[in-house]
Amino acid sequence: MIELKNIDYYYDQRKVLDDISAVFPDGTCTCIDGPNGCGKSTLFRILSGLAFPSRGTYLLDGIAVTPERMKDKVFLQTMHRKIGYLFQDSQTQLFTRSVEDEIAFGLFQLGCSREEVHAKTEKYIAMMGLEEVRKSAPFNLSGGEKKKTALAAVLAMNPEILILDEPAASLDEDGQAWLLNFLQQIKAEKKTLILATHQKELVDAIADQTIQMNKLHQLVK
Amino acid sequence: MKLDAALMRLIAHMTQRDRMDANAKSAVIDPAFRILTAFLCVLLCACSKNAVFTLIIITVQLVRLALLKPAQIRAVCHMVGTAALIALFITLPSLFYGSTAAITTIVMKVTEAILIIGILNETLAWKEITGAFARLHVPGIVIMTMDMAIHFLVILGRYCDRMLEAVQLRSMGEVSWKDSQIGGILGTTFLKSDQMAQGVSDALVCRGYTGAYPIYEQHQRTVLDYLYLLVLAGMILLFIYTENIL
Repeated sequence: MIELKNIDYYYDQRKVLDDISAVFPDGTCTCIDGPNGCGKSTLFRILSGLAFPSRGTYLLDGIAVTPERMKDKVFLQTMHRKIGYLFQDSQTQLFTRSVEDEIAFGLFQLGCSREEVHAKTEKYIAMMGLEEVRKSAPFNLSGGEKKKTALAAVLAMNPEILILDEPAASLDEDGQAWLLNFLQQIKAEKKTLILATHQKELVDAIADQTIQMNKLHQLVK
Repeated sequence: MKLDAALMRLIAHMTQRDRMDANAKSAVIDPAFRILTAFLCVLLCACSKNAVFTLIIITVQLVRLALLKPAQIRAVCHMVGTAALIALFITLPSLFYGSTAAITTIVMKVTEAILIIGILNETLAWKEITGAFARLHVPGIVIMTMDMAIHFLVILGRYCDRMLEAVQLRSMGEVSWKDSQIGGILGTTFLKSDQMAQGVSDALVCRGYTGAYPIYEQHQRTVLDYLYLLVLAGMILLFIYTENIL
């Protein structure tokens, strides 16, 4: 379970998050909505351990996530194995030579054997329908294919918590329908889903709880 | 601007095979062996004291060149011709000192080296080349840096291109946008590259980067690969024979 207690975050002396408190229970789907620039992506960076609150506490399964604790390699690895984060801009998330290398990268980092990496890579290529582009360089993919590749790369690491920053962005109508169906499958697997989206249909279809943020970087009570 | 365009052309050329033949069958001969052979070829030619060895290698490479597609032949010839002309131009003063041998030797060796590299570049995809480096035990961080450099040069190049188009669309009248906006475009591209670097760093952390950069698909060696090694041995023997080392 993830718990945020009175989180503030400053970026260049500008307050980006103001007194955020929230609980994300295991196996639930939380949708976060709010205007552009309200701090959703910063909140996600904190949740995935890429940034740390200027004030307040972030608890992951009751353990406070702090810069000191993140220096512990075992904790760091456990955390990144537990939390998968899909960036808003998939382009920067993809950096290897091909789609299959992209999916295999995280698995190799987890220390999986070559056979295991091969089996899982094939599974996620098939699941995402990326067979046609499996050997293509990520920079040559369309927006939807990039999103699917990034999602496959994250899912292949089998995280318990999935943080998705505007997953429907850059997807066409078919892509959005696919995403909705896909997220419902993920939810059925009892994974914890936290996603930022402006799409009401998506929220209505999968959200167990919704969190609204405002322009003042606060939660709307 | 000309430099920018030339750089983009070079990168586009390097990644062309990655784009066009994304699902094509991978190289028949292990790219690692081919790179090793090419390196040895250039090295032995540089060390050879007579022209026989270099001429034989050039002949073999020309036969290989003739078997490529017309577009590939044109690209290699363009590369070799330019390099040979530059070499000729640089060594021309030695003619006044009566050293004609120096001109022919240097031009010949430059031609041979560029011919080999050109053919290698035309027949191997970028990812096959970096994959081969992994097999040759080049450290993962070096290969990852090479892959990322190409990857982000392409992305930033496209970004630059879009900005140029935007500036072009908004440029009217007699104001020279070329002079006034170049600094802005370069500055914005630099800032974008900084953002992307931060993004990649985050992505690496999120995927538990441990310093390893393994390659997913590795070339399965066959009998042909080991036969190709005989070519390597034959080349060394030829070098020893033509140089009268024994």
